[in-house]
Amino acid sequence: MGSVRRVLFRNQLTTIGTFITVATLVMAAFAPWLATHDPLRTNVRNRLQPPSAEHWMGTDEAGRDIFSRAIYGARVSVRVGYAVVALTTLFGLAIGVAAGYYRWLDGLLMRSMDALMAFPSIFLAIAILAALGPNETNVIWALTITLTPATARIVRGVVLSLKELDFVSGARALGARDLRILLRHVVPNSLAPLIVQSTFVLGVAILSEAGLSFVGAGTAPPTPSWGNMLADAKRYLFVAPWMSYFPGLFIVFGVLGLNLLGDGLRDALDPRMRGHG
Amino acid sequence: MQSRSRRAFRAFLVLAASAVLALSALALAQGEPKVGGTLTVGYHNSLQVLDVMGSTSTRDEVWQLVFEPLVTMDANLQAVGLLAESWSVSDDGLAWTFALRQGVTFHDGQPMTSADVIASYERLMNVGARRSEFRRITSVEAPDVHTVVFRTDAPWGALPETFSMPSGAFVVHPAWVVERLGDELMGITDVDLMIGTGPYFVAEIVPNERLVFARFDAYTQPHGEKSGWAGPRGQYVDRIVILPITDEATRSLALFAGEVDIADQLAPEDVARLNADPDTVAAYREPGRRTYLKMNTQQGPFTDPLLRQAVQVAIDLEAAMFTQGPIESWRVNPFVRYQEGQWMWDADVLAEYFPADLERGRELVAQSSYDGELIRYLNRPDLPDQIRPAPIVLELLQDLGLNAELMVVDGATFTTVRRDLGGWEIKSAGGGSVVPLSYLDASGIDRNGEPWSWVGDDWYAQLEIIANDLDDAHRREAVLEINRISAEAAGEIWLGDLFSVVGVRSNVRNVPDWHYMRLFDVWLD
Amino acid sequence: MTTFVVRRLIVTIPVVLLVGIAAFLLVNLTPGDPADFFLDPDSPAEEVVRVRERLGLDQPLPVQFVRWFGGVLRGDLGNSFHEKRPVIDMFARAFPPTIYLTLTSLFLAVVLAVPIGIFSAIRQNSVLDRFATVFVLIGVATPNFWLGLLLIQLFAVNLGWLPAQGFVRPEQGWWPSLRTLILPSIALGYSGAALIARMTRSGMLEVLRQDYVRTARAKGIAENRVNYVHALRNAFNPILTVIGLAVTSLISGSLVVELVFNFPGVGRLVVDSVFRRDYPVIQGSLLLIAGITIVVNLVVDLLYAVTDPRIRYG
Repeated sequence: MGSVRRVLFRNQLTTIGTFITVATLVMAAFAPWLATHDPLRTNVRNRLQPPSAEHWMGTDEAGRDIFSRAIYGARVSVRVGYAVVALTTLFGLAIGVAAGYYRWLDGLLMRSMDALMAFPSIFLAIAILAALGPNETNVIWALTITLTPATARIVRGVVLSLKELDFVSGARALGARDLRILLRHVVPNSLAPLIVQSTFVLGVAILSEAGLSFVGAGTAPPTPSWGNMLADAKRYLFVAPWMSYFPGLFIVFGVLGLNLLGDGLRDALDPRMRGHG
Repeated sequence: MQSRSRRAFRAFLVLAASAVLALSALALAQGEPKVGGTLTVGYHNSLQVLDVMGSTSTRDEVWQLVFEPLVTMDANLQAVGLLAESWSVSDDGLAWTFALRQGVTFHDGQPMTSADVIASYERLMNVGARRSEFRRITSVEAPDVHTVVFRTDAPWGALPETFSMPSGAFVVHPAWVVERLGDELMGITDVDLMIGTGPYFVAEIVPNERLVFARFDAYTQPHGEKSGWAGPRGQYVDRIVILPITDEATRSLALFAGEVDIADQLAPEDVARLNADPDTVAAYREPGRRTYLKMNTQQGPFTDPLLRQAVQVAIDLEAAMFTQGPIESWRVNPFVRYQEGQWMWDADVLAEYFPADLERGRELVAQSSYDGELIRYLNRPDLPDQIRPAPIVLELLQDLGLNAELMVVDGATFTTVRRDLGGWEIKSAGGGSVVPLSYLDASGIDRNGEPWSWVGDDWYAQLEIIANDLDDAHRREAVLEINRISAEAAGEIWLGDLFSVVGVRSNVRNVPDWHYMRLFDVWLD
Repeated sequence: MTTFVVRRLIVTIPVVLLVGIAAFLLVNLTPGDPADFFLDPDSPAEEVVRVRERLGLDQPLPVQFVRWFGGVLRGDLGNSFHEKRPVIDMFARAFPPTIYLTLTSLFLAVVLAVPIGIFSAIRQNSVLDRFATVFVLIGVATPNFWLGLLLIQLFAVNLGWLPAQGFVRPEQGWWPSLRTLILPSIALGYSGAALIARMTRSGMLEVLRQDYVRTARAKGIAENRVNYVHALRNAFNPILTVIGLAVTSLISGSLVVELVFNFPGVGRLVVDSVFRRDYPVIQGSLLLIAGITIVVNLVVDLLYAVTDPRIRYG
C-alpha cells in the first residue's frame, strides 16, 4: 500500500521534474517570444523599480527588465549545461573506456584524473578561467575539465565489470576486434549510468556557472546569466531585494527539475536502484 | 538637445550645493573633542602594501597616519609644507631650498634630519613607483641638519606639487630604514621598518584582516590651517583599527551591525537607509571619483576624429552617470582634468561639445571612414564605477550603427590588453578627482615617453605653461585651454564625478567633510 | 594495512607532481603581468622590466619552474609577491577560518542529515519521509551563495541577530567566533546536508532489505535494536563515503561562501591572489589544497577498513 503511494509520489515528482526541465528548455529556445522586453535595453531613469504590471520582476540598476533577463539567462544555463554534458560524456567515455580496457593506459589516465579531482572544482575552474578569460565558452571548458574525471571513473567501472562478464571474454575469445566489442557491448551498457550522471552533471554545471558568474569569473556582461544577475544584485540588497530573489529562484527550480528527472530516470533505467534515493 | 545638457549642468550645480548641505550635517554638533577609545574602520581596499614610496596601490587615508612627506596638499590641492617648514626657489628657478620643521621625531624616537630626507630621496629614485616624474631634479644637497636643496636642470614650477603627490609619495623614512631595505620594498608585515613621523604608529598588522595603529605621543603638530591633508592632526582616539572589507554591500552591513564605526565608499543606494537608522549617518564626499571613456586613437577606426566626435556628440552624459546611483550621488562633468578649487572652472566651457544628439552622431558616422569594423569596448569588472555605465555606452555605440561588443576581462588582463593597441578600440577608465597638477604633466605621454599624436602641438604648449610657468594665473588659463583642446580632439570622454559615500555610527564625531577621511581627526562620543 | 597506506602514498607522488606542473603552467599562462600591480598603468616600459626582475619573472619558464618546485620539495613554497612573506604563513593564516567553516558546516550537515536519513528510511513513505525528500531536493538545488545572501538579508539586516560578515578567531572569544560562523555554515552546510541525508536514507534502505536484518527480525530482536545496531552499522560505509565527498565539495563551496561573508579563508586567499597575479601564492595554495584533498580521501578509505571488516587491503 505504502509502496504504491510512494511510487505515485515519485512519479509525480518525476513528472514535475520533466515539466520543469522541458520548461527551461522552452524558455531558452523561445526567449525572444517569451520575454516582455529587450533584456539588454536600458532605461536608467527607470532603474531599481519594484515588480509591477509593466516589469513583472522589477528592473535592475540600468533599468533593464529582470523578467526578460531571467528568461534569457536560461539560455546561458542551458547552453553551458548541455555543452558540458556533451563534452564530459565524450571525454569521459573516451578516457574511461581507454583506462578500463587497456591496462597499460590505466595508470597514467586515472592518475591524471586523480590529479584533477584533487583540486576542489571551483578553485580549479577559477584558475582555468583566469588563464582563459571569463566568457561562456571558457566556462564550458573549465567545467568540462573539472567534471570529466567523475564521468571517466563511472565508465571505467562499467568497463571493468563488463570485462569480467562471460559474453565479453567470449566475444574476445572468438576474435572480435576491440572496437567492435566497445561498440556492441561497452557503450550500450554504459548508457544507463551515463544518462543518470548527465542529469547530475547538468545540475552541477548550472550551479557552477552561476557561482563562477557570481564571483565575476563566469559569463561576462552584457549577456544576462542567473549568476551574474545575482552578482549585480548584491549591491542592492537593501533597496532592490527583488533583484536577488528572482534569479535565485530560477536557479533553484532549474536544478530541482533536473534532479527530479534524474531520480526518475535512475529508477527507470537502473532496476537495482528502484525505490532508492 | 543642447538645452537639456545645459540643464544637466545647472542641475549638478544645484546638487553640488545640496551635497555640501548634507556634508555639513556630519560636521554639525560635534561638541568638545573627546580623547580615547578605539576607532574601527571598514575600509574598501585590501591594503596589501603600506610602502607608499614603492607602490601606487597604497591608500592615502592609511599611509598618512604613519608616514609624512615634506610637502602635502590642502583641500584646494595647493602644496603646503608638512615636514618642510617653508621653501623658496632661487631667482633662476633652478634651486629649491626646503627648511625642515624642527623637533620632529620618528616613531623610533630619533630626530628627523636632512640626512633622512636625502636618504629617502635616494630611495625614491631607486625604487619609487613614480620616480620618473622627479626626473627634472639633478642633485640634492644638505647645507645643514635642517635644510635640503633640490636642483633642477630647468625651471620647474610644479616641483612643490609633485612633492605633495599622495600616490607613490615622497615620504621621509629614517636613513637606517632606507639602508636596511636596500632595493627591496617594505612587506606588509615588516612592522619594525614602518617607521615614520606620523600621528599614529603601526602597532599590529594581520594582512587581510586588520591593521592596528596607536597614537604616537611624541608627535609634533604641524602649523597652519587644517585643510585637506595640511594643518594640525587631531590624535583623539587611542587606537585606529582598519578592517579591509573589499565588498561594498558587506561594508554597509558591518556598519549597520555596529561592527565598524566608519565605513567608506558605500553604495549610494544605501544612503537613505543609513540616514533613516538612528544609529548611522551617511553623507556624500565631493568630488569623489571620476569615470571616462578612452578611445584608441593610435590604431583602428577611432583614429578617425569624425568617428570619435560622433560618439562625443551623441553620448548622453547624464544617462551614463545615472547608472552610478541616485541623482544626488553624482554630477555630470566632462572636464578632462578636473581641478575645482585649484583651477577656474566653468561648466559651460565644454557644454557645446556634448549636445547628446544621436542624429548628429549618426551623420558624423556616415561622414567618417568607418566601414563596419569591430569595435571592442574594453572593461574590467573589479572596478564597479567603471563598468556600471557600460550597458549604456554599449547601447549608444550600437545605436550609432557601430559593430560594438563589450569585452570584459579581469583587472590584470585588462592592464595587459590595454597596452596592446591592436587589442581594443574603446575602454572605460577612471580615477580620483583629487589629482594634483603634476598628473597633467604626466598625461599626454604614452608609456614609452612618446607624446600623444591626437591632441596636437598646442596641448604641449599649454602643458609647458602649466608645468613650468611660475605665474599661477597663466597656469589656470592654460588648464581651461587644455580642456578645450581635449574636447576638440575627442579622444577621451569624461563622464562625471561619482561622490564617495562615507557612513558613520552616530557617536563618531569630526569626520572632516573633505574627500579623504582624516582618520586622525576623528573622536568618539 | 601499512602496505596499503604506503602504496597509496607512493601513488600520490605522481599526482602531486602533476598538480604542481598544472598549477605552475596555469598560473604562468594566464595573461596579465604581476608587475603591473606595483606600478601605475602609464609607467614606462623600463619600470615594468625592473619590477619583473625584482620578482624573478625575467628568467625562462623552465628555470622558474625548477626553482619553484625545488623549493617545494624542500618544503619552501616561496614568498608572496605582494606581502613579501612566506606563502606557507599566509596559507596557515587563511586555513583555520576555512577549516572552522568547513567543520561547522559538516557538523551541522551530519547532525541534521543522518537522523533525517535514518528516520525517513525507517518510516519510509511517511509524511516525514516526504518532507525529508523535499528538504533534500531543494538543498541540492540551492546555490550556497544565494542562500548566503538570503540569510544575510533575514538574520543580519532585518533581524540584526547575527553578524553579516567577517570572522572572529576563537582566540578572541569562542562565542563571538561561533556567531560569525553560524550563517556561513548554514549557507555552506545545507547542500552537504541534503547529499548526506539522501545517501543515508538509501544506504539504510539497502541494508534494511538485506537478509540478516530480516533474520534478526524473525529472531524477535526488538525492532529498534535491529534498525539502529545492525542496519546503521552496515549503512555506515556509504555514509562515510558521502561525508568524504562532502568534505571535498564543502572546501570547494567555501570559496564562494567566503566571498559572500567576507571570510578571511583560503577561498579569499586564492581568489585575491588570482586577481592580483600573485603567482607563488596561487601555486602554493593550489598545491596545498590538492594535498589536503588527497589526504582526506586517504583517511576516508582507511576508515572503511576500520568500520567494515569485510574490506581488506593487501
